[in-house]
Amino acid sequence: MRRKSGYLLLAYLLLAQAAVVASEPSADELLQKMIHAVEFLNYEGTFIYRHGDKLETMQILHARDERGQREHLLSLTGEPREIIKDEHVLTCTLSGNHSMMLEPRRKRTILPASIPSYGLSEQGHYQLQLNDRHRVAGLSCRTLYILPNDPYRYGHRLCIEEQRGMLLKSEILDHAGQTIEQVMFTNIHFPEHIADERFNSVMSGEHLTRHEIKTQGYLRTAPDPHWQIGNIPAGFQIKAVMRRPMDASPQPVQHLVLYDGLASISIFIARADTADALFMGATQSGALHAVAVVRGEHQITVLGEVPEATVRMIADSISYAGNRGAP
Amino acid sequence: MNVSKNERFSAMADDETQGFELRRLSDELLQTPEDLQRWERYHLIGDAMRGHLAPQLDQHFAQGIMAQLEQEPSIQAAPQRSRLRHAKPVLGFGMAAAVAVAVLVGLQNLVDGQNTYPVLGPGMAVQTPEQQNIVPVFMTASPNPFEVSPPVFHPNDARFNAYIINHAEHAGGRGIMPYVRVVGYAQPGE
Repeated sequence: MRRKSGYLLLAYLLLAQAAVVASEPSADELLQKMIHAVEFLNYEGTFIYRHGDKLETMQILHARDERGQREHLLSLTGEPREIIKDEHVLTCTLSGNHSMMLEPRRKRTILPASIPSYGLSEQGHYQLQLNDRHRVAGLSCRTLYILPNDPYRYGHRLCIEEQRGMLLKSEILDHAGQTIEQVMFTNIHFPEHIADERFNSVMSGEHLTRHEIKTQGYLRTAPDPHWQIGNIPAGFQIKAVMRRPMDASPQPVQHLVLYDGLASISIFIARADTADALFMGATQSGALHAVAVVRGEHQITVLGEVPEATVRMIADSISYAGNRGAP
Repeated sequence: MNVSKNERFSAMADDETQGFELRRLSDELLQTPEDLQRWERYHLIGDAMRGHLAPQLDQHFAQGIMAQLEQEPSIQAAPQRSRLRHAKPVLGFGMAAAVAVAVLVGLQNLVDGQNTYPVLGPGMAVQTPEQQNIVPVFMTASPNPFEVSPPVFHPNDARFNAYIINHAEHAGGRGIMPYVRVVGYAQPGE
């Protein structure tokens, strides 16, 4: 009788364990949940952003309702800066006389992390691995690794709150596994409603420049099809090609976007009016690398959240295939 | 947490810590939530003292700062050094308003345009333009002023800022880190 009871208990424990395992989401499911959560949840929090030897604090507000997504990103340390974005307008307030021009045409969150596209694991360039649990901003979260299969891109270590799917911590890792950039919430909550006035600018004072950019209003011109990229790393595809006015150049700038489902690389090609307008070199900010090269009278700038060698390889392979000189 | 650690974190919040010490303190902060919260308070206190806080940020923010000040014996007690430390950023901000034109955060490691190809790992051979048979794109028989070696670009160049923000808006997936680089902190004179 005692032995029979023991077997029953063992069977019960095994069934219970199986139930727990069955209820655990897979790495892919957790990633899909996170992708949905960062777009559709209301959240408000403070996070730290670490890159290199610098550590900064920022506040983020994100609301999703019948009017779409609204977001407010504000620096709490250093120079006052903020970005407020809704479905139609992006307002960027900075100190000094900065100016910038862009077309906020995509429905995209400004949550400071690389959020992959759906189906990332099926594309074969990254592996997903679930790992242990941690506690971030007072919430339990599950570690998810996104590891690249080649050295053309970086790895990511995410910590995702399992109940809602919210991303609480995000790190970009180099090939030695060292953290290059880190974003981590120090507090976060999920209000049912965020008042409209919370999306008003909180910055005031002298030396501030405010830029309001509406969705429409910039004329695009046809891209020059003769610009070619000789070396595109496996897995990256040309996602967009456009040519439009940009503050970076008095001439329209051709902008090509490469994307592998997680990392993206931009290629900007601009004709310089004078030799003084050309520049070259390499620079970085955290995981973002940029390389500038010159082709004749054209400035080519390649930048993206990939290793420097990747942007350099692409920059060096760009050529003009037209019969005559580049326009 | 002892007084010297408070001092070090306070100095870091005032941007008076650099190099290895800064990295070491950052690591400590990230491992200890209490320290991280304390560091954030130092930042907020510093911003409040410099008048950087936005009035609409939080209705009760001023009271909160005062309460936090009362909780910080190392700052209250302090020190001579503490007063000096908070005075310097006030001056620094005045200068920063005139000279800080960087939109970006912490661009670094300017490579001076040299062909420095970092080793990525096995299986990836980075080719030079010559190896890739790159065709010259601008050929003319007349002397070309554009053939003069262009200068190395400066990361604070406004053109580069425009590229970053356009990259943030148009490239990639659903979350774009460069927005943070735009909003983030740029050191005066960077």
